[in-house]
Amino acid sequence: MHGMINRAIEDFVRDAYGEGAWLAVAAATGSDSRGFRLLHDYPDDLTRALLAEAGAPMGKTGPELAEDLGAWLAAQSGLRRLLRFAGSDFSEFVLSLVELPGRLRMVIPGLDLPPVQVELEGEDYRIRIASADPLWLHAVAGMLQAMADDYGVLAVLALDRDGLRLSVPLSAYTEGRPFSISDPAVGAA
Amino acid sequence: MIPVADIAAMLGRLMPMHLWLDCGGAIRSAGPTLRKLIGKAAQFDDAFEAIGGTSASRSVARLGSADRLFLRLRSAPQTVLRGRGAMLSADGTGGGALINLGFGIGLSDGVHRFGLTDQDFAPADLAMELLFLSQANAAMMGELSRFNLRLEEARVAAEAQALTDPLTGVFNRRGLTMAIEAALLGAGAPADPGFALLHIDLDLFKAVNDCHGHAAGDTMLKAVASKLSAETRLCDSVARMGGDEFVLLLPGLTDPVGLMRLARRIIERIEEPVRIGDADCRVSASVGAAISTGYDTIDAQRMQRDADAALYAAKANGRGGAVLAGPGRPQVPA
Repeated sequence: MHGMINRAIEDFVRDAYGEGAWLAVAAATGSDSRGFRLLHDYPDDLTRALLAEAGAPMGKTGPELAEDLGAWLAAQSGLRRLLRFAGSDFSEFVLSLVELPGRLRMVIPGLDLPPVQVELEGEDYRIRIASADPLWLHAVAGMLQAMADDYGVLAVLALDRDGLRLSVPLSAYTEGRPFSISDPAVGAA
Repeated sequence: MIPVADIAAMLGRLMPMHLWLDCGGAIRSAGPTLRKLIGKAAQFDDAFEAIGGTSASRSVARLGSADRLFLRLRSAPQTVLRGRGAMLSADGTGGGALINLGFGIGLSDGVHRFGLTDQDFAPADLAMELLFLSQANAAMMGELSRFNLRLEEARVAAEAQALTDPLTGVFNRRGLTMAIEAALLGAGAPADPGFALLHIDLDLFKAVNDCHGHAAGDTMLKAVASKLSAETRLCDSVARMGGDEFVLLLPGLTDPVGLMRLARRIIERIEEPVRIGDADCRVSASVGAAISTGYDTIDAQRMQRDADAALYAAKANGRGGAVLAGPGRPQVPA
């Protein structure tokens, strides 16, 4: 797994649960507590272990933690801004999920997300990810929930055997958060 | 035959930055995004300056046949649009030229300057992707430079650790070597002020260790190190060479009399009792000194050997003395 992903887990644990929680996760997984290298490849099993260990103290499973991670990522101002570029409204954003792996690859060559498929199911969306690992789908579900808040829509997500079912009972639920493409990038040093 | 207004509306929807000129260079229609840039301009020449071209009134044909046009906005000369023109046939549309324009690399500035939104760009246009990419790039650079900063801090900390004596916090042997190398960089230059080395060996230190234990010994070493730091300037280097041996590197201190006065003062400071637990512990020190200006060519190892020899001479004279290396140098007796 790309170092960027492990780094995201590390930052999430530090930010959400504190430095002590991160040190415990690092010790339990045999990771360098100073943190992961961004441009380095790590074994996939390590990433699964990180999520499992990070969730353990709260009685959460790895997939549940992946969901929290997805929501946390989408709430980071820099990433949230980049995500908003994908669509001018939530429906466009959901349909553009098929472009998400391409966008990621464009920004970070080597960071490969499995292919994403979005279909309309009546009024709802059906989202599938072509990976045997359910962690991806859980992370995307968390991200979608956070982005629904960002766009100001009420979204209901349900994971089942066929992937993720997303319905939007209220498309103008709140004002959402303001976004303008001409604002400066967040995170620029 | 499609009405002209319908054609203009269709063009506006598909090409929000198009420009439709008649044969005389008057603007028949302009896309809604382009209108945000050129305002109410009615003539090509009021809105644009064609870079490398002549005015439209004389050359609509040239605009209409250009493979790549660069047009500077008169209202905002920093903005240059690029595009391609196509000639229109005289029958039906009445002739003139149709030009489709875009921002090119100046996109971010343009979006900012004219307050554009994603609705201002055709989905087939890669404008949004370019904006996304430039912002992603900035965010990535930010992330990488934060990461680099962390590495740099770790490197500085590791380096300081590698050069520092963990007990006393002054330089260790490697730290001193680095400081001497730095001092030698300027050696031999006409303006080089030279430097002095003081090799200091504690006397009676073993007694502190034996009578009060190793913890007391460590406390004494720390006390001596802080006395040495206090008696020297910021530009001087204090190093512990292990055991109860210290070395001072003193840039510019090449006057033998001044140097021996300093050696004397240091010995007196070290001889002041140090309170450890409920005991007043006393040590003394012997000092061997060497001055770089006493050598034709400076050899740091030879200087250190000479300072050591002077230190042994001082020890041989009895405790608490200082000796300057080299013949004819003033000796400070015990």
